[in-house]
Amino acid sequence: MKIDLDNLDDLALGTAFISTGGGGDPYLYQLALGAAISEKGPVSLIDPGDLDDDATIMSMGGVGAPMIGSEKLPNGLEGVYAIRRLEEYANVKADALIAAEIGGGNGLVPLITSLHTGIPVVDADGMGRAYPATQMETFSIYGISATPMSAVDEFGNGVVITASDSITAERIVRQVGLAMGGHCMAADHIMSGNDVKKYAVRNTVTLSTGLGAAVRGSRDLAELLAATSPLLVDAGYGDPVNLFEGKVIDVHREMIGGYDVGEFVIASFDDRQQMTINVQNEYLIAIVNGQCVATVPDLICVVDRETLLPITSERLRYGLRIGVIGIPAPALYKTPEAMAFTDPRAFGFDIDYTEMIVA
Amino acid sequence: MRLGIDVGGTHTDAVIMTGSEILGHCKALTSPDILGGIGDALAAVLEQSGDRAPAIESVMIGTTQFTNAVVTRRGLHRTLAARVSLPGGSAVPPLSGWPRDLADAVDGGSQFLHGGLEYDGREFAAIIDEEIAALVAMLEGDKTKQVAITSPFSPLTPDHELRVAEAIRQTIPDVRITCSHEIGGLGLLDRENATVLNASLSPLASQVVDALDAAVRKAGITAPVYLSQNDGTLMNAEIARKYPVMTFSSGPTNSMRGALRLSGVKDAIVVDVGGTTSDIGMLSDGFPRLSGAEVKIGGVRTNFRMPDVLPIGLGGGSLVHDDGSRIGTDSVGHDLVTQGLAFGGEVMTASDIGIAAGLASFGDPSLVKIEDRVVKRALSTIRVMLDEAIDQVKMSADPLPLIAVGGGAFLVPDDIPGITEVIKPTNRAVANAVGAALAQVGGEAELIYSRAGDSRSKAHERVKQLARDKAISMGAAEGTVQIISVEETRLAYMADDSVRLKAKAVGDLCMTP
Repeated sequence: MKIDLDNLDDLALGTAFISTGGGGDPYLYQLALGAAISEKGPVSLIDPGDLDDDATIMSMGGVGAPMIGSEKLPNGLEGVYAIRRLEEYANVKADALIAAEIGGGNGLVPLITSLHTGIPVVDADGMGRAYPATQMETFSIYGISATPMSAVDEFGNGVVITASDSITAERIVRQVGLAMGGHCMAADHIMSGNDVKKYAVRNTVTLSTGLGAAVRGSRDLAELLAATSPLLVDAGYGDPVNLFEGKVIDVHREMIGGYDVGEFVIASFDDRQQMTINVQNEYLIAIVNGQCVATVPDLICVVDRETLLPITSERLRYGLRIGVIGIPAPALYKTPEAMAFTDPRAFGFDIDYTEMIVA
Repeated sequence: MRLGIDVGGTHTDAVIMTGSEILGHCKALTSPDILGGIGDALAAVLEQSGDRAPAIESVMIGTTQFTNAVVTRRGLHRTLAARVSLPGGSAVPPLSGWPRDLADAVDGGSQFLHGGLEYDGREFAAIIDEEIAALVAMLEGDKTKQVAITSPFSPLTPDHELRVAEAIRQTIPDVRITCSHEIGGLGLLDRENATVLNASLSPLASQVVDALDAAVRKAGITAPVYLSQNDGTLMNAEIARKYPVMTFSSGPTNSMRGALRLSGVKDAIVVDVGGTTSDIGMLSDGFPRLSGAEVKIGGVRTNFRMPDVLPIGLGGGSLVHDDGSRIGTDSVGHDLVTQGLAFGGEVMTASDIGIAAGLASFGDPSLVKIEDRVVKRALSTIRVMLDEAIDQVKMSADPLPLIAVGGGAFLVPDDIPGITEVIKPTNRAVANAVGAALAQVGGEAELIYSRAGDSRSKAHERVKQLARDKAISMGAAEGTVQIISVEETRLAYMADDSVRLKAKAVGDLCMTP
């Protein structure tokens, strides 16, 4: 599989679809990747199964406020500096790159770095969606150290963070990002091909490209579910379901601790049922008439009911007619180890994880 | 006395007002050259009001000409895009994501320079004088070009854009330069897009402002000319020459502000039924609600604050299909007065349905022969179209009043779900010209402060003062300036609790004595 100018737009659309409302708008990275592909040609993807067991792989992604990223546009070399810095520190060579999170703009970051370095990109990632923090990556969850972690700016200025655990690394890299003007590029989780085979959410670049094409090719929600179902099941997710359709009738949000926190209410078109969705950058919990119908780590995706385009949490507003799609998370996120970092309690809710309930 | 003119796609409207009283109003057809239509409208409205041209103190014009220039790709000039952001930004060059034909019409090359500031005002990278000198040398060789200068966080701290602009002006005084901090808020690429469009429109802006001025003078009016902006406030002719993009989307804004002035209702849904479409928007505390999503002009993403208006294909000239079960989106437009049934034509239009139902009487009602069941079905189709669109535009489930304006306002039913009252004010047909005539002058400012370091109340005072100063520099009378909004947004993922503040001030136009 290659990413070229013909499937780039589908990939970007798919990363927005699977981001569960967070991860930032991929638009700027889509343009940057498009410009890089025009100059250097398509990006090659490696299937995780084709990696040598002892190959060296690094995960990567941007850290910072989306507003800062909208003003400080990339030069395309940030990822190169981050990888080189980490290689130098750990005295290894990266054989392949992998996205820390496929959801939103970060899903496209390794592809840009790949075109500048020639290092191929693994068709997989560490989240299978978007999450707000490093400790929620499968790699960290399953015991691969997030550190050493490099964090660099556009000049190549940088630091290498060492830390006792991934939560500490996350706290430090946020401060480093602030010192770099609110945004930095990080490379971390030095791991083997065998680790990637065991712990990565597999084939999510290909999956996103397929999801984007499905969004574009479908005329209504039923068609979208039918078109995405085989792709998701093939990639190890559960069967996508229509959780709710209706109109947004109330939006409440505030910024707490650097996160966009809130809830919004959707009324069904016959006005007989209401769904409430809790948000912390991403859509986390969906409740219908007091009953939890979907929670993290399962995916809650919101699309415009007419255009089927994904709607990020900051774009939600009264009156939008939306469809809420539930996608059971891959098996890697259903274990006790993963639940400890990604279930509702990990986000501070007094709610247990519940299997998705379809009305 | 004030004269308001609105140049729309179909009609050019004019009103003469003193205070809130309308002394004369008229609707003329918009001519292909724009000026003919304005001349006709001016002549008619002056005659109605007893030829009081000398008593007119100011002229306010809303025009779609600059939007049309971008949409039709005509009248645009080549622009050099200079971005002061290295070593950042080069992965997403200027004009990224533009439609090819528009880029072809506008692209005058792009140049990256070192520089830029951080969100807190400290320097990201130093400016390199040799790079500016090279840019100036390049421009000297090609003086026909316009220049657009963009730098990160310039809406908060414009220093680097100003330094580059100043260096160019010192050597080439007559070059047309637009700096991005004068055009829009945060979001570099969208702001740069608008800045490049502005620079490429600036030669046309001079022509249009001169021509509008000449048309007004020809009618014997000596008062100053103002243009309406997308936020419903005014700019004087000198500023309009420099910032033509600020006129984008002023039409819907003027009709909403006109609806406010005619009805006196500050919080309402506004439906403006024109010849081809209806624009549905919302007034919130007297101002149009602005769109939160990115706004595309001619296929290009910009970060203008545009009124959040939902257009639907229902106008007075819309064609009635399938015995009334479908209406529009095709329309006879201004040929209604020759092609509509009521005017002896062959085409059944939404206006004919209104006439048959007794909602309106113009043309010759005896020529309108439509079966009752078709009239009934068409009215119910119109009702469904409006009900759905109105429900989408509402911000909350709370019921609100609705103001119906525009030539086709009679098509709006008197009972609509979720609407307390449907108001159809007198002179509703010229609401947009009234909105232009009574427009105020505004100013916006924004800054970022850290809750860790700065005092909140001081930051609020500072941003409000900046907005007030901006309004006064735009022509507002000092004593009338009011702060109408202060928005506070905490920035996601910023651990030092940075907050963005945005303030907006408006005031009455300072009338020349």
